[in-house]
Amino acid sequence: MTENIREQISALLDGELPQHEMSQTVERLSEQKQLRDTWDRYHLMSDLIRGDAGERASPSLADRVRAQLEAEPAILAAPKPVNTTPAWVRPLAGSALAASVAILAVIAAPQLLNPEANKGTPQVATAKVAPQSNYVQLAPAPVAQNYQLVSGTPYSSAQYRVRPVVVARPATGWSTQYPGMRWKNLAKPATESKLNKYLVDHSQYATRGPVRGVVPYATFVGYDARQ
Amino acid sequence: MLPSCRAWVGCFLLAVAQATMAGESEKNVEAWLEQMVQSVRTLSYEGTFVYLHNMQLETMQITHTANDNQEQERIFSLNGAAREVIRSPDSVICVLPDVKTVSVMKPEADDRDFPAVLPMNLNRLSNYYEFRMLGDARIADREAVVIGVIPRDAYRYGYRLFLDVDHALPLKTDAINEEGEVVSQIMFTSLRVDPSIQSISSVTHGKSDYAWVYPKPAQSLPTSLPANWQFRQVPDGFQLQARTKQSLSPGGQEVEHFVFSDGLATFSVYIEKAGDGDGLHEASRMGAINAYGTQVSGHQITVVGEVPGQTVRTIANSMEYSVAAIPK
Repeated sequence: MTENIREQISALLDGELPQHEMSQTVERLSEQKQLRDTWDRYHLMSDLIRGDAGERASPSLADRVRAQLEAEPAILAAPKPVNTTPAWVRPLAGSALAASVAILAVIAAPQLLNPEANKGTPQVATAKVAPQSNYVQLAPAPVAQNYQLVSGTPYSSAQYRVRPVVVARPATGWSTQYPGMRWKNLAKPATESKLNKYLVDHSQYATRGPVRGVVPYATFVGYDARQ
Repeated sequence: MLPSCRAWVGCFLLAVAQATMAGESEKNVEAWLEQMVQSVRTLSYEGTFVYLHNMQLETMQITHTANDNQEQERIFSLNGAAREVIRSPDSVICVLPDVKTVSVMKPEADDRDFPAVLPMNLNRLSNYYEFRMLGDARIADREAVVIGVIPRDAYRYGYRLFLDVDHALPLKTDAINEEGEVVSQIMFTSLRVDPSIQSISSVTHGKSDYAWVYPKPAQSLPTSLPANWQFRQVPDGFQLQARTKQSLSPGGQEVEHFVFSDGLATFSVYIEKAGDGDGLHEASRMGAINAYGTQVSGHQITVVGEVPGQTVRTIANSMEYSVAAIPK
């Protein structure tokens, strides 16, 4: 596994992966068993950590993941050169995405995939990282200690302690509430509500188009009504 | 033969092969898209799809039936609130368990032309989009052909369609913005095409304590009717498709509504008297849907649609109030 793809998985979990890289990463995830295993492992951790720790103050999962990635024995491979031509017009081959990956993502860590979901929903508690330090010394995660790497090397607590990890931003809440879709930059619920009425009304016309039969309603069905 | 020479010959042969294939694939793109439009409406299928936009992933279930040419479709959220939308020829029913409400919208008699599908007019569309075969793929365990619908300007999204080779159903649809970034993706994770799939008979079960609301249908107006509004800047190809007058909440004030489409992308312009202060005064976005609001001559203008942000902004900022002009 290259450094690059592991960074991308980490960024994906952290919600920091740019759009264009996101789908590529997901596609690669679906194609390679080893990558999938990595993904599964991180998500299993996420589940267990969440079940175990709930909404306690905690460094973000991605930071733990990053630490884990750094501890993971890298299989060396030269990073691929970045292609600057718009990738999407090029022919694609085998861009299947395993359902398990997608569904896992939804079940395991919606909060992580949408770091902005907490904005404007004050009832969701946010866990704060201790402000006095920019560094968090990672304690060994209880679940990960005996967890097998794909390559067969078990994690040890020593590896976990190898290096401090920079916390780039405060960890968001570990809410189990599912964050639905929200309009961006809207402060007023009344404005949002008005916009929703427009959207639902617009959907009746937009769904008559030849291509986009589902999107407007899908947007509505997935909309997060919590104010 | 020198290696470089051989490479040149190889390139030449490849170019010839591609030129030959281009002729065939052009015809194929058209046939694929036409079959897709047909299949989506006329086949019975059910499946699960994921809807990915920004950093958010939704999972939904769709059941589409077309028995006796009666089309019905149900979209049901598998995450969060179990919302659903059921579309049929005579109603659009939204079930909102999170607010214990069922909303039943019935189109006006003269508007009851569902499925009023805009025909896929490839000739017209080709002025604004380029169609290209992009290759093959495998989605939801099905073989798919990949088609690019590439916009010729930045006022509309591009689409990458992965069509099932058996039925041309879109197994995956990527909407792509002017930067080449994927703004939303819909992808089936499972899909079953089966004429015996039954339509949904009733949605009332277990919803006795729900509030049932029946929004008043919009009043359709002829698009040629003079309006008090001028759209000074409408991106090429977008034409006025529909016009209504309605009130979107009981006793609420009247809203004028204009629907524009280029045959693929659609946006709506809503106009009401400014007053409640709840109007949108900036840009907002949800997935691939953009909205922009502003005030013009004492009216709140809100433009919303699945088009790039600059399209809704351009339209909103180009609105001009005048007395009874004919809309473009």
